[in-house]
Amino acid sequence: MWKLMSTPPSDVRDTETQEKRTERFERDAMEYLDQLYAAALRMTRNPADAEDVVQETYAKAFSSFAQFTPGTNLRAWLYRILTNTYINSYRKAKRQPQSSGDAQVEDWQLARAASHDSVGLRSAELEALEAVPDAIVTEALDSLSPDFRQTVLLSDVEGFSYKEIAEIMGTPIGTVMSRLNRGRAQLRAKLADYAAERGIGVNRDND
Amino acid sequence: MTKDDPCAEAMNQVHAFLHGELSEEAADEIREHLIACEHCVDSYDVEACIDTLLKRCAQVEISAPVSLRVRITQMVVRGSGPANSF
Repeated sequence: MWKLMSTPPSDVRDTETQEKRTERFERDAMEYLDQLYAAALRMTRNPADAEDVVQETYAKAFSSFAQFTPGTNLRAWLYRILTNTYINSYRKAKRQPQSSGDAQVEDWQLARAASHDSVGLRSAELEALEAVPDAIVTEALDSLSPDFRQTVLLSDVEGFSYKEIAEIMGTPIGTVMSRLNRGRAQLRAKLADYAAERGIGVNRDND
Repeated sequence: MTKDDPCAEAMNQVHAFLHGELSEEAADEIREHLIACEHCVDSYDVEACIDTLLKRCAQVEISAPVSLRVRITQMVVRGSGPANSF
């Protein structure tokens, strides 16, 4: 009567009760709550919004948990839902002033990054960079356009591979790489500016 | 175009290199270039430093508020109560 054809018998979803599935969700998915909240806080920059995004993420994850294939990457799956939730509900509702995504602005910043490059980066500047406080790094991150910022966060802060980021953001790997390169170039220009303003490093006394 | 400019080529791949995304072969090419090119190795040092700065930001321990954890747990438990449909 039951035709067990295409689904492999090892899949726990075929036999578990709703109760067991809930237990599995609580055991496996709740483990990532602190990480997801921290990520949401970085995205929204606001504790109340972060809570909303995370709660909605868990609601969606729970209701579609049957679609998650056990044994695959649960963390990336949850981050994908988190990212979509943030993009769909939060970012659209609250337009952020810095999210212009203007290509000309970006290219101008790229050009600046390149000019920093040609100044020549001395070890003194490196020392200045190493001393940049977290708050300034966060500020520089926050000034990136949302797609660049999100890509840098997923890569450098959350430690996802490019392939995972492509899955989370629903973009080709090439897009991940170019967003990362451009986002990092902008970040570098801003941090180099900060170091230069402190008068350390770059030889700028006569520019 | 970048093929003519080994520095541009190396810097174009420096993040993938730092993130361990390159094949061993491609990574070796970058390493060889970095050994030979002072300008690029300076630039690489800065990129590596920015990597460290970003990771340092992530090390700050952030816990979800207890109230949020409670709300989600309640939602899950309620959501899985005896099915009404049957």
